Amino acid sequence: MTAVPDTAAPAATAPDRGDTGRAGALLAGPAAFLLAALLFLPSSGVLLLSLTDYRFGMPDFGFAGLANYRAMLGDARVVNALGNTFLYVGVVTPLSIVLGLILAVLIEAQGRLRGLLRGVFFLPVTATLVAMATAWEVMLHPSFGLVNTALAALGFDKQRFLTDPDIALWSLAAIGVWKLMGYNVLLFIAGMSQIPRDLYEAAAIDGADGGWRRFTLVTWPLLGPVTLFVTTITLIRAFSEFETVAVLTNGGPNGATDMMLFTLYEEAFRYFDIGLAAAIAVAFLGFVAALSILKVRLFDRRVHYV
Amino acid sequence: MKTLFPLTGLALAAALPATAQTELTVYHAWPHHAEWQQEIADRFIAANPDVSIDFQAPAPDYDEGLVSVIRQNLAGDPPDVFMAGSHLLGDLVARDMVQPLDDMIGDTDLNAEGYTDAVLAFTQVNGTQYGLPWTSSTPVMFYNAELVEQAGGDPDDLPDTWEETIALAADIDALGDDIMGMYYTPGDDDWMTQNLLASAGLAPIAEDGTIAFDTDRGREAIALFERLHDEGGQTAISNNDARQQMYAGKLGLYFNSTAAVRSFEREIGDRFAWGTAQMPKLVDEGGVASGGMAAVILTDDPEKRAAAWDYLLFGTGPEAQALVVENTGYMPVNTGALEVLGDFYQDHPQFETSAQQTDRAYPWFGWPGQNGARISQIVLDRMAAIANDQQSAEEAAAGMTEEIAAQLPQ
Repeated sequence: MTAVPDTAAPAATAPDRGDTGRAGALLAGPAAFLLAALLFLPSSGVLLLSLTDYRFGMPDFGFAGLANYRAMLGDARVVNALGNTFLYVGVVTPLSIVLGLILAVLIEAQGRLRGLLRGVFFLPVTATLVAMATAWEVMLHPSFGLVNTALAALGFDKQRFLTDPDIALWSLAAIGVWKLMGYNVLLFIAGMSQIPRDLYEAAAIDGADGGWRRFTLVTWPLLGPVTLFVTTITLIRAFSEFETVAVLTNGGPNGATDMMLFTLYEEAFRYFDIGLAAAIAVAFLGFVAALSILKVRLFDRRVHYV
Repeated sequence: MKTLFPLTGLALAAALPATAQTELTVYHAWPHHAEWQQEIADRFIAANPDVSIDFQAPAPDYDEGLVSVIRQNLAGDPPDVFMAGSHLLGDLVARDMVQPLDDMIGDTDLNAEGYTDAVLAFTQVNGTQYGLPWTSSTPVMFYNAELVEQAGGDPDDLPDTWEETIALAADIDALGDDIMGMYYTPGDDDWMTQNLLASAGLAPIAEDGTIAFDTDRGREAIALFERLHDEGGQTAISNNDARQQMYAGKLGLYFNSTAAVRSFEREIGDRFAWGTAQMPKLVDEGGVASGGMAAVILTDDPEKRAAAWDYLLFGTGPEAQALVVENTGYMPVNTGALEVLGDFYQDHPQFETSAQQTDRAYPWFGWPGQNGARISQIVLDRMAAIANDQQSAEEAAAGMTEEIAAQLPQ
């Protein structure tokens, strides 16, 4: 998940014929082998398992055809988890990108506090999320958590942030934004440092010397490649949300915060239904792959590379 | 080091008695149990120098312990002794990972050794003894004595019916905005719901195969959970939140496993008076759920099996069980431990409540077939729906019955 933003790299020049081509193939060999051994092989194993009725640890299993896929689509719990996941992704992705961008611009405009602010917003990324989730649990305590104390002081009703089925998913989404935003801030700041100063000077000469016009004319277009990468990575990370669910809500109350990866985990390692879990994993892989391909197809052409 | 001092090693080996060492690997759940588990092992080794015991890093909970043990079994190298959640014993049996203990028990009269039939039933599957119970607990009522008094109740004479208990909780709840009358934890599985059924005198599935939620009394037990929220002042917060609320002195009655007693002692200290009382009943013959850890032997090696059996008997014997009780709040599985614990119980009456209600304990019910964990979750979800007013108790009971029936073996 912490891939290098290779889409942002300048396109490589076409290889020469002959020796260079062979050398290239040779150099790519180890990576290709590892990719096959560590990614494609296990993935096809999962694909095969999804066609069986294997139960974790049982001595034997049989071929089940597409029964697991039918069960998956017919299972109200899986469908519910899927709906929750889409809602979560739909909220967390745009918010954490937009807020990340705004914060990055504001932080870069800062003088002395810049280093401190970068650190503060990047903190959630470096901290262990399980420990952070526990801190959130204390903050969101229904009676004397910090947030509820503040709400009460302002004259609002106290909320059961993690145990009210109408609110729980939104609470997790807020934590998700908090978590992903910091990473996005850092990427945007890195992207902004790549923008040549003279472009701003040129823009100023052309009359664009206000903050907003500088942003729309220079900063935003030139952040294209970074934004593309940030969007991909944020989408995938939001899709694979697991820790906050596992630590804070266990998918409850009554499935209100069930999400795809958590359901997958429960099916495999609590209910031992490996076949169904594998089917969910295949669907998950499909989603992530489709998303990445679609987005690259849609946006890659419109992005200006520096 | 070995290569540096080969002679020292030889000399040491020669100095030891000629008997071969038997090495046992033991695996248990709950990291906070590691200390007393180790203490039992140390005492056992002291009494049996020809056996050595190695602990694997403890699993975070019963479910993950089971997953890990199945995985190790697939790799061909499971631990020799495993402490399973007793409701998960069926999963080990279904995978052929554990053999009946008949060969080990032989002619031993386990009743005479201090194990009652009720206790032995915890670790049987279909009447066959697969393990010995290592710890055992029932849920009890924890109370904040000061809040009970303020509400006009008598901490030394708490009600034993749910009807009066709910009334008391309502009075406590009325003491202030920041005070919650009661909290009955729904738990992480269906155990606490089994307890509600037990208090109505029911097992989850009756002898004739009827699912309890499909009977009038079963529906009444489920409706009780709804009443706790509607009348007793319970709000649907998480168990962790409720525990903090209890420690802060803002919760009147709290219902959970007696295993929490030790934490209560540590967290509350002398800040306010508290205690435990027996679980209230819904009907006169109402019982309580019970559960705990089942120690099973996974190794097939006859020599290790014999040593492991000795270890099981030692750990479930009077002395070791007294140690477990003092360190956790569990109750002893061996009646012999009650004598050892006489003074301790005198000084810590909160620890004894659970032991006093064992005569009405129902074993931890494991759902037949392969879908026990899934059924637990079905129950848990429906109970959450009741607590959050998403469904009436009636609807939830009907829904549970239908969903559970679909998961049971046809």
